Parts: sequence; structure tokens; C-alpha cells
Amino acid sequence: MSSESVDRPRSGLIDALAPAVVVVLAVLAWAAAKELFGIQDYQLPSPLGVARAFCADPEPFLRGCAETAGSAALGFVLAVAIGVVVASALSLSRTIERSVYPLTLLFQMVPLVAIAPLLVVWFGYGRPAILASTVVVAVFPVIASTLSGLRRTDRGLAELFATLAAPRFSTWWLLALPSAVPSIVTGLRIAAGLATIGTITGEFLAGVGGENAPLGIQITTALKSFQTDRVFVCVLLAALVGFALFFAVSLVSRLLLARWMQRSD
Amino acid sequence: MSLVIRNDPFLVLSGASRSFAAARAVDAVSLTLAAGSLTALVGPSGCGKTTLLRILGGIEPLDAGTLQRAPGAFSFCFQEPRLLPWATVCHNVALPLRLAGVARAEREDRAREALKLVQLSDAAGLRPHQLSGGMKMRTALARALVGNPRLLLLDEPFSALDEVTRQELDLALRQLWEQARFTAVIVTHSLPEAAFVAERVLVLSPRPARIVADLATPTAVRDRSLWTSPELNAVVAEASRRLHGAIAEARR
Repeated sequence: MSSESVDRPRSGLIDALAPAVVVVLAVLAWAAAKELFGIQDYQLPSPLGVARAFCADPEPFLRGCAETAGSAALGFVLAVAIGVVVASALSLSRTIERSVYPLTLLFQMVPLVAIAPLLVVWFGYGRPAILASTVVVAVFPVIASTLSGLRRTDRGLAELFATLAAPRFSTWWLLALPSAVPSIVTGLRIAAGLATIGTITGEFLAGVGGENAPLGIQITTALKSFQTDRVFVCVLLAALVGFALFFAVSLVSRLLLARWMQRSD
Repeated sequence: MSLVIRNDPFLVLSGASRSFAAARAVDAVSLTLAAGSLTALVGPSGCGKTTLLRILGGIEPLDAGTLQRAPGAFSFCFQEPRLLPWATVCHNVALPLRLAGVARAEREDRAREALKLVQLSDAAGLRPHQLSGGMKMRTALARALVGNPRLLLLDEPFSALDEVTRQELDLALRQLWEQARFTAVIVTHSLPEAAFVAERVLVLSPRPARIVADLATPTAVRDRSLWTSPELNAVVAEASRRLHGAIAEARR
């Protein structure tokens, strides 16, 4: 008993510190590799060089980061809304599901870079095409997980709703959708990770430069002038955006799931 | 709930039969339930008790025979509580009213009244995982009663509970029925429970279900002492004798 109570905080501390230690070790290995192999700055800047590039003028990076984060978050929300609606429509009947689901699967199989130019043609340059790119990447996990959740409604509860002569919409809203929440949450976590990838890809092809140039545009601009340190800053900030979105979704999911996870007797 | 005049037939089932694939579950069963009566169906496992209960509720179609029932809502209380795990006790109880389109304030008031009937007023804000097995079944009972049903069908509602909790809930159910006088049918494996809760016990044969005995239970007021009374034991003994007779006949 006493050893348990002593071990728990220690293991919590290790859990919290371990990722930070790994990051520090990775940065040290990066700096050492650059020195050891004499790699040029335009090929691989030093960690210090990347930090200097950011600190010299952080504002454009931060504005770009906010722009990218906004697109990723908005695209994610759109993907969730579209995904839940599409999955709910597919779940109405097995025939609809069997007819339409393979099409959504096929859509997911086509690489984003192949579709992205078409998005520019359809939506023009700027945010609409970037959002479309985000939605294309993030929507499938939401559809798949929601559909799977909707199909796993407890039979006993479904029979209860049937004996209560529940209308179809009420059964969906009060039973099927809440029952699917744990499954949907799994899809949301995957979609949150993918949303940033879709956003950056969209920005590469449809982003607009200027004062609020998003990270994707800043990456292509910096690459053209071999400012690899600036590219690294943008890549790290893009990773931060993805991590923040994933973390926010995980946090909301955890709060939401508190109701659902305590189902055992 | 209004008091109904006893002995008016509430439900008449004539020559009811039901088969699943090649197996006949219910065979030419005829019975009449008086309005405001409480009847127990007992029989061996798999004899077709639940099928007969579902037929009485009109949710199981008949292959042959007729069902005539007075108009009015019915409600079903299952073997398991079947509560929405994400909803509070109050919201679970109010579910039938919500599905019927009753306004929020009214349905919450009525849900609280139903919870009071089953002595769960203090648990209104709890979620199912915070309840004991007995409390969950009380919640399910409150949900079944909240719509003031004219017919309450109970399918082995307390079979998963420990003996003490089960006896408490049997008494609670009997007292609720004495107050409200809805028509009710309870399916159970337990002969003492059938004789204690109901005023009439129908003994069913092994599959396909046929009625082999129709027994009246003691009219005495229900309290704990009745469980061990000679009157109750006599009904249990007679039901047991008829049940074993039917099983022996089916084996021949």
C-alpha cells in the first residue's frame, strides 16, 4: 500500500518528463550531427539558427501560425459536421450504405495532392480551397467511425425505443447518436491529426501570400530562397498547430466521454 | 391514475398461436384479463412465457387467434433495466414522455412523481453507473409507470437481483398496483414471487406454451410475513405440482 502511494507520483513525474527529455536529446543529436558531418546551413540549419530565425522577427510566423490554425480548426469542424451527417444518412438503410460507402472509400484512396489542383479550380485561391482540402482529408475517419458507432446501438435499448413507439428521428437523436459517441471520438482524434496535413497541403497549392501568409505559403517562399531555417520554423509551428488541435480534441473528448465510459455495473 | 372497475375484461386472447421457424412457441392459448388485475405467468425456461407476454402487448404478431384489448397505453418492463447510461435517472424515467412530445417541465415533474412512487426521489440526478442493481430496476419500474399505462407488462423484472432486494421490489410492485390498479402481467421463474405479487397465477406447460393451471393467490394484505405463510405456501405447492405434472407429461 505504502509503496503504491510512493510509486504513483514518481511514475507520473517520469511520464511527464520523458517526452521532454526525448525532445532535448533529439535537438542535441541534431546539433551534433550538423557539426560532426559539416552539413551546410541551407541543407540543415542548427537548432540555434532556427531559434534565431524565429526570434529575429516572430510576427510573420505567429500571424501565419494563427492563419493556419484557424483554417485547420474550421476545416476540422466542417469535416466533423459533414462526416456525422453523411454517416447518419448512410446508416438509414443498408442499401444506401452499401451503395454510397464504397464511393467515400474510393474518395479517401485518391491522394490529396492529386485532388488539390481541382480544389483550386473549383474554389479558387484562398481559404475556401484550403478548407476544402482540410475537409477532404479529415472527413473520412469521421464518417467511418460514426457509421461504425451508429451500427453498434445496444439491441436492448433499441427494443425499448421500439416498444415506446419512438419516431425515427428521436431514436437517432436520443439513442443512436449518443451510443455512437465513444466511436465518433476515436474518429475525431484521427481527424484532428489529419486536419493540419490537409490544411498545409491546401496552403501549398491554394494559399495566398501577403501580410497574413499562412505557414504553407511561408514554407514555399522560404524554400525558393534557400532560407531553410525559416522553413524549419514553419514546420515546427505547423507541428505545434497539429498537436494543439489534437490535444484540444482529446481534452474535449475526455470530458465528453466521462458520461459514457462509466457504464460498467 | 383513475380507479377502474374490476372484472371488466381488459384483454381477451382467443386461440393464440405463434411459431418461430418450425418451432411452435405458443399453442392455442386463450385467456381473459380483467381490468385492474395482476396476473403472473410461470413456466419452465424457454416455454414461451416472454412470447406470450409480447403477444399480450401486441408487439408479437399472431399466426392464429385474436387479441382484443381495451384502448390505452401499455408499457414494458424488461428483465434488464435498459437505462441510457449517459442520462440521469430523472431523464431516463422521463424518456417515454419525451418521446410522446410532453413539454420538458411537465415531464420532469411527472418523472419526479414516478420516482417518488418507487422511493428513488433522492437519486433523480444520479447516472445509472452510480446505482445498485435494485435501484436500477426501480428506475426502470418508474419509467414503465410514468406514462400512467393501462397495461403494464413485466418480463422477469427482478430475476437478476439478490433475494432480499427482490422481495423488497416484489412488495413495492404489489403496493404500487394496489394504489393505482393498472392491469399488469408479470412473467417470472419464481413460484413464490408469482404467488406473492399477483392475484392470479397462470401455470404454463413446456414449449409450446399452454395454460395448464389458473390459480388464485391469497387475498391477504402483502407484507413480509406473507412469504412464509401457509396460504402462500399452499398456492406455491399447487403451482409446483401442476408445473411438474406438465413437464412429466411433455416428456412422455
